[in-house]
Amino acid sequence: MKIRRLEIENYRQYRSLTLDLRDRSDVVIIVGSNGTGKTNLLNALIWCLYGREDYYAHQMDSSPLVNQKAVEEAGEGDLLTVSVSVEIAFNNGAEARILRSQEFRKGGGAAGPPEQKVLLLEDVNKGYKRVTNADHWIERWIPSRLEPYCLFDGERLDNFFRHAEAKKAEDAILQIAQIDLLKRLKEHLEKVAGDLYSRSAKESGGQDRGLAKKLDDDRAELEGLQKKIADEAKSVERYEDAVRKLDGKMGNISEITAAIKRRKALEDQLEQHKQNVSEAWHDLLQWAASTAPAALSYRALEGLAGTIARARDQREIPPRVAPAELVRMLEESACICTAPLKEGSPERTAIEQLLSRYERVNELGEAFLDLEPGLNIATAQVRASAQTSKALMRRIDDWEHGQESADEELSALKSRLAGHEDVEVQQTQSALNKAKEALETATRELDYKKYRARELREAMARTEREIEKLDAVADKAKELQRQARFGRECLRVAESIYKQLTNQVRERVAVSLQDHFQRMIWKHESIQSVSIDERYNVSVKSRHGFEILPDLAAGERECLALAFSLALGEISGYELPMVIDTPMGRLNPDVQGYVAGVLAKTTEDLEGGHNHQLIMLMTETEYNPDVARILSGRHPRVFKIVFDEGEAASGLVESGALAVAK
Amino acid sequence: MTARKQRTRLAFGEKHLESYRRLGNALGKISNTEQFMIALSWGFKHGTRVEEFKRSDTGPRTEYLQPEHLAIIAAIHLAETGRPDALCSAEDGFDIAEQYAEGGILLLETAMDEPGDFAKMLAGEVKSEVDGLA
Repeated sequence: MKIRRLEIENYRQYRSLTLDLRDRSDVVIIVGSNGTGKTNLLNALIWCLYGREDYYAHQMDSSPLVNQKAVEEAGEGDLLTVSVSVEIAFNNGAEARILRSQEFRKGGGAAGPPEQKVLLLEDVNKGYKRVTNADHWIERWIPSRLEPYCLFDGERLDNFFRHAEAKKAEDAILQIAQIDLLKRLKEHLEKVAGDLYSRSAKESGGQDRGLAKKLDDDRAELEGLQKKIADEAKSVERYEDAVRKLDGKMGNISEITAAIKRRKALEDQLEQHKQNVSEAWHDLLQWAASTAPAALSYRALEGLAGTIARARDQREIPPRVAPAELVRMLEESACICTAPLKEGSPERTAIEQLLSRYERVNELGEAFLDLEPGLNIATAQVRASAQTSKALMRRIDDWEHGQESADEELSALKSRLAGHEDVEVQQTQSALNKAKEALETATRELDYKKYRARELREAMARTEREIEKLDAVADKAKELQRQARFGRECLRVAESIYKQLTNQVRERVAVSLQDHFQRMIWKHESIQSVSIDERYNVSVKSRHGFEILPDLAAGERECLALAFSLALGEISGYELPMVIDTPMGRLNPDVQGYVAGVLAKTTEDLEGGHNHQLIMLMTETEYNPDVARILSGRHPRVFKIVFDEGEAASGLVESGALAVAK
Repeated sequence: MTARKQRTRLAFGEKHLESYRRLGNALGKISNTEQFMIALSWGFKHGTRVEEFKRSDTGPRTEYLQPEHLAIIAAIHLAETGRPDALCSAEDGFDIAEQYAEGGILLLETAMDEPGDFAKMLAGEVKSEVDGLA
């Protein structure tokens, strides 16, 4: 099945657009810058087929679905029609045209519900005929359950196994194989059997009535609980989706977030450097203030020191022994060392001479003696200060250098971050945190309800066994018990079939997954197996038997997700076109070329590439010359989305495979 | 001849009280004594001495002068007179100190009014003086 033509009128960026793929359409590349409308081409397609419009649903009042330029040009109260039409060609030669349209009144929002019609061309001679039940026809030929695996956002791929985990893999497999219908049958049989047991107990009367009431009460609670479980599961899914989207957004701006964090760190660092520089200068000023008097008067201090030294040389200053002490020693005729100081002894004579010198010590000598300690302090301070000032200057230089470097880096970072609002990042982060919290709460609630449902089921099974044990008196009661037992038996059979089928499908998906994956990756000899266990955990084992799924590189992970999509498509038996928005958005440029090659080769390998179609919506960065060269081997048709600012609308221009990349 | 009355404080020049306050603030709220000693040494270093000026009642109290301050004052006194016996009169030394301080604060006042960071200029001057001594 292939898309042959897409026509869009007044849908978001598109006033009027036609994508004609009748000539050649195996590989189609649509290149556009961010914001020109790549994703909206995918959205238009999904809206046309399934009527789903996430963004529209949130902003009904502002009708963002309608091209804003068309709204501006329309008169108040005028009707505007938004329409998307897709033409598809089936492998048997039949063609179908699916059209969805909706009218909007300027200033009044939607003028009515969307309308969908399907025109089918099975015989060229008979022409198109309208299909009576469009929804049903689409569900039959292009089932909505396949949409997530053929029309998807490539940025989601990288996160596929991370977010989807086992539950998503299980849902995907069961939906694709339509085994979920069996699940509903199981639930129905369970209800029927329970009903029959309850009715048989009621017919018996006596004690059995109590059991019947208990069974009914438990079942009523279980039914209520199942409804709540379904609601809660939807909430969990919604929150998971929100977390995934926000996570993706955070991923896109993770570099900006990191830069903002770095900027904050640098600002703190710069502040610290400034403070350190200021403190170092303060210390230097303190040093200068205390050193200045001695340093600036140092020559004078040297002069004073020289004068005192000369005075000492000329014995104008006596040694430092108090004269009163000398007098006391002479009077007591005893030295301080207790030796006698006899008259005429050399010791006594020496002391007498010393004392006489003291008598000669004049006022000036005393002044010198008084000044000497202060002089020593002042000169010592100047001598020591050379080292101190050097150390302080070194400190200042170091901090100023650090400050300069931080300042330079900060300036560069600020210009890099220009235009990115911190508040936007914070809001996204905060929204992500809230969504995660909500997801956690909803998951907890869901787990609790599931636990309670299990408890109720067990209680009901016990009650049913008790009813079985009681002798049913009335024939009707006996008959009802017999029917209930039969119901239970049917349930057991259904469960067994369900288990067998799910195992078979799971194993087939796993085999196909392994096959596709091993063909895609370059290190295929290092992969021993890819499997999906009973709990639907996808596992990739190395040839040494180690689990390596968490260690796969981004490119390998994307290949695994693509292989999973292909495997699901194969098991479903449908050959739907694959439309991928930004297939390599999350990959490093060095891996983009490789994945491009994988995509090109995959479509070629599948059925010889004749019945498969791959449409990729790529940014200019993704469709770089390297990727273009690799894809050129598949002779793709390449279109470029051109945004006309005057018209506020986007259009498509077809160009050569390599021309756009250049 | 009557003995000179011993002073209890070294006087800031009446006209320059504000400049002393600015000097103190610029160097991180230093004491009166430190302000006076910086002005004194600055005046001595640049050979600026003002003999006649009106003394204020404000200035560092002599009892708070540390031995090293007294040594600096005496050293300047000696350098100025060239006579060691002049040191016998501390009061004369204080006179000279006040006069150099007055000259110093005058120069510092001009420096403080000039553009640029005065404190850093002073620190740089002291540092180069110290480096020169080494």
